[in-house]
Amino acid sequence: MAAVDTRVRSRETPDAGRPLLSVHELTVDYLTPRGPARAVDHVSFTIGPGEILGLAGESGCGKSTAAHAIMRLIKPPGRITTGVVRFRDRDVMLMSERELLDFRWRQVSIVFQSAMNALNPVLSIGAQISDAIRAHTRTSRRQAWERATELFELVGIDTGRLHSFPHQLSGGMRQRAVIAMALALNPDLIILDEPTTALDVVVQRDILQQIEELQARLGFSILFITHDLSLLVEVSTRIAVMYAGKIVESATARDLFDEPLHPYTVGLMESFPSITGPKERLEGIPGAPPDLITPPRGCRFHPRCPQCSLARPDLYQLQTEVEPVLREVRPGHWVACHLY
Amino acid sequence: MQPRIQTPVDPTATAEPPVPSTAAGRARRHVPQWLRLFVGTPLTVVGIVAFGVIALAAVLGPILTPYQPLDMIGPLHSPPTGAHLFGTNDVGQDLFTQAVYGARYSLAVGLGSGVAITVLATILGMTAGYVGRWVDDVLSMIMNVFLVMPQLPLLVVIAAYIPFKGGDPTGAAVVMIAVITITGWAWGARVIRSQTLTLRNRDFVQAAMVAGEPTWRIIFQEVMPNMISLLANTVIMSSMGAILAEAALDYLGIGSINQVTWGTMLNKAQANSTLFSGEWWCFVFPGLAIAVTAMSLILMNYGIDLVSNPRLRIIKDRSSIAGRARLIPFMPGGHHRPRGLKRGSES
Amino acid sequence: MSYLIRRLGFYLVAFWVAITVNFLLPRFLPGNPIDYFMLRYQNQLAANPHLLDSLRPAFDFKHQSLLVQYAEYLKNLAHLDFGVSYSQFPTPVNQIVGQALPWSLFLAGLSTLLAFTIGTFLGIVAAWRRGGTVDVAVTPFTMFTQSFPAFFVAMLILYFIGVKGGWFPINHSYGEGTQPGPNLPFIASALRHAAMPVIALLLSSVGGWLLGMRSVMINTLSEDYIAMAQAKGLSNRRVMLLYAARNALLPQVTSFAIVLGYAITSLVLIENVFAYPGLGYLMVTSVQATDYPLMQAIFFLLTVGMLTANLIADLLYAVLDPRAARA
Repeated sequence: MAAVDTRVRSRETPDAGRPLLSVHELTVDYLTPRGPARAVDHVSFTIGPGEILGLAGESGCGKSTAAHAIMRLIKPPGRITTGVVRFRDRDVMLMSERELLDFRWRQVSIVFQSAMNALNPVLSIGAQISDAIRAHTRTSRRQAWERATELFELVGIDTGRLHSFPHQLSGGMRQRAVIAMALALNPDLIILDEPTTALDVVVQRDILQQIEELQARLGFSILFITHDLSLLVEVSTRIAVMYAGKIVESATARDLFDEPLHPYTVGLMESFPSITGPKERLEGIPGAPPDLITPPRGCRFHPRCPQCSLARPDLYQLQTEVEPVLREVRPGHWVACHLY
Repeated sequence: MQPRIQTPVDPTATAEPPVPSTAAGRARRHVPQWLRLFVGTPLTVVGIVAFGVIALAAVLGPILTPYQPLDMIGPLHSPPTGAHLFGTNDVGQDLFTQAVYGARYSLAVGLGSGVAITVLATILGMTAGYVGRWVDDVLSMIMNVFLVMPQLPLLVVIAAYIPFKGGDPTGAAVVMIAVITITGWAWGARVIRSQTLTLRNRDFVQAAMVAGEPTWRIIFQEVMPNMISLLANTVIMSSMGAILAEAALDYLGIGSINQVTWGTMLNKAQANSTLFSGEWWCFVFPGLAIAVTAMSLILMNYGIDLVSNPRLRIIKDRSSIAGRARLIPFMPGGHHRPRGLKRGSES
Repeated sequence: MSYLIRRLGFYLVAFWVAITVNFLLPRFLPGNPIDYFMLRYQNQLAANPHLLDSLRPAFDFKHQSLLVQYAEYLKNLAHLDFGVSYSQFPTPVNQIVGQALPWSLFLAGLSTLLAFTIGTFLGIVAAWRRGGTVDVAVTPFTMFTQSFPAFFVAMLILYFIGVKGGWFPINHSYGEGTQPGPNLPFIASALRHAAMPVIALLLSSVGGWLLGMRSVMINTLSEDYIAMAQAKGLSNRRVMLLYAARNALLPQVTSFAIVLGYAITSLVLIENVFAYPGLGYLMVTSVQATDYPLMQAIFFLLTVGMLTANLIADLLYAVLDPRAARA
């Protein structure tokens, strides 16, 4: 089909050439009667072509918000206060409405957490896919439907289901359908926002495998958002960990797994049981997520950090007064922590 | 991935508004947020004041006017003057007096019905929602049947068969309240039922049930406190509906025909062709009285809605963060483009 | 399908309740209508003693046992035989009602169509641009229209536009010079006479549609699939109409029932202000004349009308919502 660019990208190494997406000092606030809650606080990262960046953190840490901000999907009372988001050298924040509509889905698409909620209940799946296609290209309804059929084959759904409504599909099928929709225009970057959280483990496996295969085949980049760090370790090229709206650690998946530096990352790692291996004691992270309107002074994690105590008073003073800064403490391994 | 090095953040330069430590600030924090929102909205205040004025006029009634409503003491067909604020009608009765006395009746019937409807709706609605099963099926059926009947024709037919002819205002009012309550309870009941159903299935209620708490306690301590705004809503809107219904019946000449109410004043105005003879004061004042009362109730209800449904609030962006940072439109087509930004520029 | 059957069953029950109420109500009144009737027509009765025989089964409440009367009543109802009018004796009720019905349908139909269209459209726009001009204007506008009683609005219109302004004729449903029928002068005259009542009806009912649509749209717009639609880069218009409004219409259709109730109320009141010869006006005059047969017939008609409209709304909902058809 000439209208949709279906070239398969060559698999490029993550550091080759210019980054595909570069986010710099992105800040998103939610306006509440008590004052603005800073959900994303001067966050910066890049994603290269063909790279899979994992974004991890507990609920409410701002990862979904950051992803929405990349596509400028923040609605009031949310507001993107500052930040530069460059996609292939164009600043998304400065795009006109036309450019933005074109940018969306064609360059970057997104898969929401709950596929049921992301689908229009009164339109058939096929109609929703061809919607997206016809909004960006000059294709006839028939051609768009053909493309939708191709996509369904790609993700492994019976193409007869194109005429079904969302409520008629099972959870796994719906998620695949949403993935198919995300692939419709062969975007360069796909944002996966907790794509498997709402599914049971067996289906999770399937979907993940499917995603990996598709990525290997088509070569798009992925921004993989989840609270499940163990998932990211298997799938991603690099991983960034967020806490209270800030990135606290970032490294390659291998490095993060071998040597998690930030105490929060350590806590996350230890929160997930492994199915194989000896039974270990499960450690959670004590405490609750911080109030984003008035976050803790100094290091935001310090109230919950096992490494923060009065036993080491000068360190304690730093931790409670000064915000730590993201620094490269090992090659390619950045962390924002006073311990280093 | 290459995150830039972040410059150390100066802890004293945060952009969040500082936690107030002044006396006024401390006092402000003691006022519950809902009250602040309720009274802080200009429209709501207007409603409260307007209703207060009318209620006051009704209560003070006889003090405010030297005449009796049916005394024919003034000049005939007189437009509003100093002596007769609302003018006089075709038999020389002072319309201001009539309006004030009418207020007593209309408000009494309106509020009385509002409360009665809410009580009935709450009892039946909560029972249906909480007990469930066949009780709910039966009650829901009854509610739906009532809802699907046209209300005014039903009122007309019932009112036609019941004698209002008595001159006793209290008796007439009670009958009117009864009639309006019987025809008007279903809407509130259905809303209360569905809210009760939702609450009943919430975890905290389920926990109380499992813990073996007696039903009455669950209802009064767990369920009802979460329905306060809905109940307030129901009282206000039912009262409004009742005032309008009563006025409508009186206007049609089917209601309390021997009382002086706003509705009967309108009925007289029409019957005496004052609409055609240019005597606007005969119908404008009583009509406005009904309208202002109803509107004040709606405004107060609006205030309650704002408190209970945060999505309806439009929060003004007063923070100082917007100052130096670029304000970026969130959704195209929604709001303005940021000023002073050049396309393709970079920080 | 079972959904429809259940709804149909419900409407049958409601219908039965309505006609039974219609039957029982007059029997609660002290006294016997037939005595009243005999008093009124005593002169005619002297000449023709059997004048009232046909009325006895329906209106002589002591004539037979209650159950037998009920059976007679149901039988007559099945034949749509409402008897003869008291106040316009001996004209059959059906004839009187038949003359009034078209006018009411005309008025109600026209104004409901306008109110629904305008109200729904404005509601969509108001919700889409929260805080914009339309949205901000909605609240005060609907407050005015909802709190001003329909008959007061009608009076104001009648006074300022009709009497003082002289723009439209102030009573009757069509001019005396024209002949009823599908001819242009008649239609034009009918429209001119209907103008003020329609405006009054429109003003009093548009608020309901507006508020309803707006509040449903606000809730719909916060759904994930709207964000998804915008993420897909669909044009604003498409998202607003095909994704948001299409879903928001569903609850709007179900609110039809409530709005219809208000519409009938307003119709009755406004017809009385303008002395427009529809069912509402007829109902009130029949009550004032204690014309029981006529009253019963009109009440029956209004109730059936409302039930039917609700049934149609339910059918429409089943068609519009793919989830309901399966339920």
